[in-house]
Amino acid sequence: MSISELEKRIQDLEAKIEILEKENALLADRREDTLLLGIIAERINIISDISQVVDVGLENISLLKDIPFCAFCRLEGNDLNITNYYFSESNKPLNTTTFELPAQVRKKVLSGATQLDKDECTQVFPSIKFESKDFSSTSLLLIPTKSKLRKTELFSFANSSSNEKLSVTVPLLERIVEMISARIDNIFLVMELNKLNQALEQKVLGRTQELVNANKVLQEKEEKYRNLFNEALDMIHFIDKAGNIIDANPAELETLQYSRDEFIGKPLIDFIAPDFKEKTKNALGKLFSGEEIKAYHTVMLAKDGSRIEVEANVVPEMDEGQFVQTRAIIRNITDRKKMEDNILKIKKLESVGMLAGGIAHDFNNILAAILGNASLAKLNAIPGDKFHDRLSEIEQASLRAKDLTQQLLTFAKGGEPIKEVTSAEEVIKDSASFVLRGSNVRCAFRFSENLWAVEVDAGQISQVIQNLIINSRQSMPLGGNIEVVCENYSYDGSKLIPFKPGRYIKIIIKDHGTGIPHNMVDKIFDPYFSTKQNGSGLGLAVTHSIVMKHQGHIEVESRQGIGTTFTVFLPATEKKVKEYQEKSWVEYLDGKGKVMVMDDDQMVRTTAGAMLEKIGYEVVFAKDGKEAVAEYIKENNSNTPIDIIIMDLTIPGGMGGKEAANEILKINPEAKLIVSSGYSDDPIMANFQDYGFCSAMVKPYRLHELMTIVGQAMKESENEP
Amino acid sequence: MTLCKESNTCNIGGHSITYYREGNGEVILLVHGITTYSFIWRNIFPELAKNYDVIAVDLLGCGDSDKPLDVSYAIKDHAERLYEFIKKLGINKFHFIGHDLGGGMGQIFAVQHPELLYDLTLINSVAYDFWPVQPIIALRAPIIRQFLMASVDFGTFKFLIKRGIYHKENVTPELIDLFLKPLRTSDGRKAFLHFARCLDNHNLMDIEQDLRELKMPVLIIRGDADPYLSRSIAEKLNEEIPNSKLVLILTGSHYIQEDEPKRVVNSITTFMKRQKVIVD
Repeated sequence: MSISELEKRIQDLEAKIEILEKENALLADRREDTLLLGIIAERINIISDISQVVDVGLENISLLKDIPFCAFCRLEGNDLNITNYYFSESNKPLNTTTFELPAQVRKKVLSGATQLDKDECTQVFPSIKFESKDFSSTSLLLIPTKSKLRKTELFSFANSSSNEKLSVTVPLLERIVEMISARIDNIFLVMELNKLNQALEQKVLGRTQELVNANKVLQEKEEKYRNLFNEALDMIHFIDKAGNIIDANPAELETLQYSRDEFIGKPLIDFIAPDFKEKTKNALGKLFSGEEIKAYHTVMLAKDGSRIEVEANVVPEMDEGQFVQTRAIIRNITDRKKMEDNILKIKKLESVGMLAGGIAHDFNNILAAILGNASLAKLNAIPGDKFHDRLSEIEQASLRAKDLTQQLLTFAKGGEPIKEVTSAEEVIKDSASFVLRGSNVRCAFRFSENLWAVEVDAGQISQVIQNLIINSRQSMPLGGNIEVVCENYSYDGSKLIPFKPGRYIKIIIKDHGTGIPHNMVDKIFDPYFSTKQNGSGLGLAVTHSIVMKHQGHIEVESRQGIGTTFTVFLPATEKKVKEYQEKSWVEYLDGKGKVMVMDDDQMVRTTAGAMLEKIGYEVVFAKDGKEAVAEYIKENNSNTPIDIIIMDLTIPGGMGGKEAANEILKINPEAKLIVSSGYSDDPIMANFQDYGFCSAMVKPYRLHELMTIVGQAMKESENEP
Repeated sequence: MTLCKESNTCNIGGHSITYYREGNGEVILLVHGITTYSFIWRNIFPELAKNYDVIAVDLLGCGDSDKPLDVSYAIKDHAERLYEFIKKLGINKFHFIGHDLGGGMGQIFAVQHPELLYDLTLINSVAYDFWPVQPIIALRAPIIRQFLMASVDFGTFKFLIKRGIYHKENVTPELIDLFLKPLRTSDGRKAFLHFARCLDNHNLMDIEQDLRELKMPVLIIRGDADPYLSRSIAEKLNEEIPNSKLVLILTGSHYIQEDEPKRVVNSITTFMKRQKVIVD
């Protein structure tokens, strides 16, 4: 190989090397471009702020492609507004960010990447001024983004070196701009989506709030009704299709004494009294078919077995014609029923009382005749003789009949006691024995010696004792002893006993019966309260009332299964008991004077007349007040004026004792008038003196009573001047 | 991370320079190079501060110092600013310790102001024209391109750091974070690139002859695994500087402060003590 050949060979090789070096350089460029794309793609994909995406793109382009000034601008009309930029030669801000884009440039730019040479360049960016440095661009590349979502935006790349240097980067920069633009669109869409999301969220929040509010209102309403349900005094319950209790309010649970668990879910019918089950089943049937039931009366059963009378308004709740549940508002009318029964009882008693009063009045008159005549007849009999004894029996029977009418009258009118000094012992023994006659219960009496006398209405006190003994007897169905103790009692006021200090007699009636349940002890004196199936509820009430009227006091102490003790205190009196000795009657049969008997009843007039005449008085009669007054005036003017008038209080259809007494006292204020009536509890009888009478005499009366009272009055009359 | 309790600032030419200072005794000035800032001394600073008055500075455009772009970051200009800095602090004499470009600054400083230095320590330092700085336009020059890439791509930066450290296990995310801190801001990145662009090996080639006439003791420490700067730089320095000593540390790379801080401290303190005896 010649030298020339070798030289040629070397030249060839050098040329090849040069080509290879150029290719190598191109490859290096391409590698660098790919790297730049990769870096930018990687960076911007993790940023979700448009401005930051742009900044990263601009900086990386500037650094790796050595372009000193890179900017992102918005095209608004002919104005180019720089929003982001990167200038590698300064950290200071740009002085002006708005530049005018010449119309022809604008047109070109909108169609694609546009490179401007130095002259055109200075038209757009005459000088880019930074705070500390001016940058004069000699070459400018404008690349529009092709976003369909946003206004026209431009990327501007400027350097101060050759045009060529910038032009080789165009394809790469176009790709980068496209990539950044796509990312911006992406973020923009996400932002729009977020906005929509937010709006939606706002709506959802608003709607949620509405629902919350509505719910709250509903809850408040619910609570209101729940409170009504819980606090109602009436019972409320709901029943399902099967007749089971779905819910019941506290009032119902309390009334029926069941816990929720014991009550809820159970068939209603289980809580209905057996005698009302059938009726209630029928009612439920009606309800299930949609019928309303008003003021429905039935009887429920409490846990302790007690019967609860109820009245209910029941409404079936329907849903589209289908029965859902019943809603019942139920009133416990047990007390009301009882009250109604009591009122009925009272009315009944009132009418019985009126009837009794009416009968008693006539009956008294009849008794007056029987008793009077028996008394008179006894005068003609020899004591100890059978005949005398029979008459005594008639007398005793009549007296009992008298007591009976007296009770009837007291019962009918409740009246004031007509007090007289009495031996309590006698009253107690008589009453107790009378009640216990024929029963398997006996009384064990214990009376103190020198028992003080009491000033009482013997009839009423007898009733007290009888009532208490009856109670004791009934509490001892198997028989036994009732201890009856009576003793003197001086009360000094030191104890908490609700009566005045003073002298009393204390009557203790103690049985060994069933006793009174603890919770009922306080109620036993209430009218119409009774522990007995057939009790009137009046016995102890009347007893209490009588004791009170006597300024006395009654106490009870009872233990179930052990017995009951009643203690009655009655004020003692200094007065002496008037002794009536049958034997000494005769001593009084020497009456002198004139007595008028005013009574509408012929029988009474005759008997009284007979008795008075027997005693020795001269007797005149009057059928009523008018006649009595006229007769009195007439007799008053005679030599033998009337000394004493026995006046019947009540004269049907005529002038009664009260008015007649008035008239007569006008004529003679000193007139001795004795009021006589079967109504021992009439206020006039109790307070006879206030009406001008000197004495009162309960019909019927026995001879010795008549004798004593009239004799007494006559004596007073004689003593007066 | 700070080197000591508090940082100080000093105004040089209208820009704020950040520095750390601690300890008593003769003054030592620690000067970092490119890609780092004062933090690179964090394992060295406290050890030296036990016996010396140690100052670690953030060069302009680095660390927490200002980052103007209209000021030259060429090493001779940095050296000039360091002179003003030392004067401003009223320091009359000190030990100059420079790493990487900081070593270049040390050489310039030693040539220009030999009276101010007790001695000079160069750690994996640039010198002569052995460091491959091309004109800025020649972006394909590997180191510049690597700097560029590093400024835009943290992956590249991490790679750059990792290559410069011998004990790879020391490359923790925390360490990378320290390196990356200035690059997290656009201003920091601009300053970093500005620094790279300002590099001009003429600065050091100009003093080649002066170095041969340098009187002061010079310690040359080289992490021998440095992939960026060749051993020949260190050998030439050792050969040409009359009163110089070369310490090669095989288990150290470019960032030898991370690899062998104790050995670096030992070499420095031994060197300084010996010099002191000689000086006395």
